[in-house]
Amino acid sequence: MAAADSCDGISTSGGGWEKTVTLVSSDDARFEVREAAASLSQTVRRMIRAGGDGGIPLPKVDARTLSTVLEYCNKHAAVPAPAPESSSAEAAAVDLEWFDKELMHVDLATLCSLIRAADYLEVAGLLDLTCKTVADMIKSKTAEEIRQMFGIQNDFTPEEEEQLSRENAGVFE
Amino acid sequence: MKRLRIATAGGSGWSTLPGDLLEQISSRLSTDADRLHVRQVCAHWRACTSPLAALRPWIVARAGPLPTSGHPAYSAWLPRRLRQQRMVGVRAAPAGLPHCRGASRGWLALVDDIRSPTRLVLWDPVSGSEVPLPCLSRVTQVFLSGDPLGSPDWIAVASQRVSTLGTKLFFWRPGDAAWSSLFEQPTAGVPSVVFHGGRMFYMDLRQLIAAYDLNLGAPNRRPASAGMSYFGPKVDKLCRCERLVHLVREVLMVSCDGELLLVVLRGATGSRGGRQPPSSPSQVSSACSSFAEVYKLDWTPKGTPKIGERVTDLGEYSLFLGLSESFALSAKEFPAVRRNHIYCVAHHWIYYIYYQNPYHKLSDWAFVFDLGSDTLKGIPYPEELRDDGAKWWPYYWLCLRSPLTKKQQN
Repeated sequence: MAAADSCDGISTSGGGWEKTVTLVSSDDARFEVREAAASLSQTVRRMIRAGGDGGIPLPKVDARTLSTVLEYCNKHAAVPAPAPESSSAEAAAVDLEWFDKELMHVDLATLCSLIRAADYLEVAGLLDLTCKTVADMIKSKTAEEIRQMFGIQNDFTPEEEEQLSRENAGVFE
Repeated sequence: MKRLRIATAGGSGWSTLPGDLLEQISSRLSTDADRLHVRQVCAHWRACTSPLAALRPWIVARAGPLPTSGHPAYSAWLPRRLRQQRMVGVRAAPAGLPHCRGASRGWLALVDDIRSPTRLVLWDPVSGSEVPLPCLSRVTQVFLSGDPLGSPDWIAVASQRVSTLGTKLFFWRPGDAAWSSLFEQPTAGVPSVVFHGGRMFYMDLRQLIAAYDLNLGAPNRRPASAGMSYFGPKVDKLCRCERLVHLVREVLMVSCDGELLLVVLRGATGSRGGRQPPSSPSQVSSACSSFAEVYKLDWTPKGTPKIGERVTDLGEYSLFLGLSESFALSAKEFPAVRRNHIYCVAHHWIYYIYYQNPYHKLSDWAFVFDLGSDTLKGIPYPEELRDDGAKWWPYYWLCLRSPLTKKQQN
């Protein structure tokens, strides 16, 4: 608390009651976010503790990606501590699940930026969500189908290719 | 050699994804096929994701009546014939639990003593997780309706030896203080227990078949009987050959791709090719000539089982039959498996082999039957085990809960 108060980059306006912080994307867009939401990012949390002037710089995340990350953080930080077994907690969980699903309806380039941002910002929940989404897309596909989907060049040598085809025929009888 | 990487539109981000992210994505893939394919995309992806230590499933062998003290009396093996057949190294087995009493859903049921155990523990060889269960004396097999770490609604069913062949069945649900008896009357051995569509089915050696509604999710309701029937006469009528008595080695049930299947193991060699199993009586020729037959098993609303149409094509699936849990795997998901085959550990011949051949002459320890071509092949008994004094027998098929990577293997 004391560390946060001493930090000039943090305004206490916004929601009136809630403390906010300013995050600055790689392309200099400024986002004013509730501290509770921004703190879902371990990277931001550490920088809040460290203090600083004129907002928290996030040079590895562009504005478009950051706004999606913050959408996730705002939603997930808004959820009150669940009272187990209560119907409202269950409804909140269903709502969150629905929100997550909707959030992942993005094109592949955005998903790639999101997964990197979630990793850099250390938003554990979002990292899990994005990795799961990619894993679900990879599921039941051949290597060639995966390459086509993600636009990846096959850079194996012919000798390596031969080894791969042997891998797939690991049949026992 | 320096690799040339061409970044295509929108794709460059994926081919240069940091290694730890690729590994995180890969670790969320549950089938062997997916784990192989993700490593075959490009050199970068291959370098960043951990290779599989062994394709599933494996055979679990148990040591004979007098195992070497101090060592586990069970071991897991790659069953392959053409490639290297070897013991699979997993995490260190839990100490003080040397005996295995069943394999189910990728878990091994371990006890500290066979006759009067004081501990019964489920162990996952991949994660090393242990789930303690209340103890049950003279437990012979443990079956799980679901993954203990997957959902809170699962049930364990265990068989207990009460006499030479007499067996009693018990059930346990998470939270129960002790095992509860499923029914009071002992049954004649329990070769087959299967969970299918919210029900448990079991069939004993007399081919008494019974169904129970599990009532999962209703903690105050115990499993309830949903009918039973002696099945022997019906199984006998399946073969249309002229013999008076038809050859039936064993009848098993297995849940496969949404269907409950009945497998009649006749133990013959098949009509075309293959070679004679070591114990097959020579008088069997054209009659009852198949190694195994598969039928759909229907359960009428009145609670009686009905044998449905014969199945000769399992699609992408194959069946794995062991002394404990029998299951189906898709060849698309498990590249070690050939589609439309029946894989069967040689334990089913234990009586024949034991009485006809000395132990050291056991030549095959599993059989692979091609339902499509009706041919049978054997998987030879591992040479490594032959000279071991512990007299190892193949017992169970084990399909681990998740792929085993070289990293997890330690």
